[in-house]
Amino acid sequence: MTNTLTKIQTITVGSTGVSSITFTSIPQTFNDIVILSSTRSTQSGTGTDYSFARINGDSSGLYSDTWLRNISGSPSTFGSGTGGTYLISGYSVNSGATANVYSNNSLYIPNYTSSSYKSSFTASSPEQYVANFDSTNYIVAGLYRGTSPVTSLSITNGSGNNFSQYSEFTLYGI
Amino acid sequence: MAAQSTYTLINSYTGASNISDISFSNIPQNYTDLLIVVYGASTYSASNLQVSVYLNGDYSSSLHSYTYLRANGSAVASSRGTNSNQMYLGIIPAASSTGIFGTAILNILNYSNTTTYKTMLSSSAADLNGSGSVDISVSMYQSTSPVTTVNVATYGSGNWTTGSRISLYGIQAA
Repeated sequence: MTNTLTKIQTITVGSTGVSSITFTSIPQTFNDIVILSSTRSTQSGTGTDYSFARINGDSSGLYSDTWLRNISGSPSTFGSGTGGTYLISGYSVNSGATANVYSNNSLYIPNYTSSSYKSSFTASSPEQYVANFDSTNYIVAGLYRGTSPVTSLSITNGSGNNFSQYSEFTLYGI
Repeated sequence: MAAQSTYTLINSYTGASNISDISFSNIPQNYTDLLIVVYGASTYSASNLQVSVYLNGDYSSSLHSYTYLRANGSAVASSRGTNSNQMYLGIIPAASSTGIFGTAILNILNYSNTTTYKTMLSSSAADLNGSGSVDISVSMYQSTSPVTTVNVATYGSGNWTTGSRISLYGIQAA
């Protein structure tokens, strides 16, 4: 039986926290890659903190996105951006969240070895069960107009704070 | 001991051209769920196109229904289709979005059972650098027959662009 979902690497954040993690030397033998992460930010408050991905270390303005958000049961908000310098990769609960609450995020990049532009799909659910704390659902269509195969990918905490201890990122090849 | 494989590639269409309707037939009945991953674009003369799915070759009955939530950067919309001849898969880039391929991920749950109607969950992402679409949806096929064939179609408009890839996976319960 062919094994088609293969774990490439897991990065678990230690006690000091980190602001960014990077997967390097990504094997070029799969069709697609997906990064699943469980994250919490050291940013203060009870809201959420975005995180972003950069491909092959590229911070130029080749990124764009279209997104949809539902926040705490309120009507959805939406938007798009061009000329960005990253792909949205998820949202973390902040340090004011109840202890042990972490967000779930997935970033799917199909055909990552191709010489075409790279499209992506992000789904994120920083759910909290406390009234007046932000619980949100995000879906994001991303586009990176680079044509090189994806050989490295970094994920950075958007606020400049750190990912908290026990945040975890796993890269799978499909 | 290594973890058992849970994703198995059943079939994949790549490099499709002049094909509007891709059919996966004789689907093995020994998995728990099915997963379809679309990396695709259409030759249709527009910026994007809605694509659809129908089961067991049934394109003539009115047994399909769907509900989706979609944003395009400037508006959010939800819509429902009832008594339809197909189910909603998502939005992909089309001819005027040259070089851009979108992503759609479709789960067909408990597809081999003979007692319940068949339910699908899908999400699609197609950012076009200045426009685009992202959505989530649920669909139902009012038939208790096991799913033996799945068709992924460009909704009767244009063909799949060369370079598109549609992959069918079987998912085995852990």
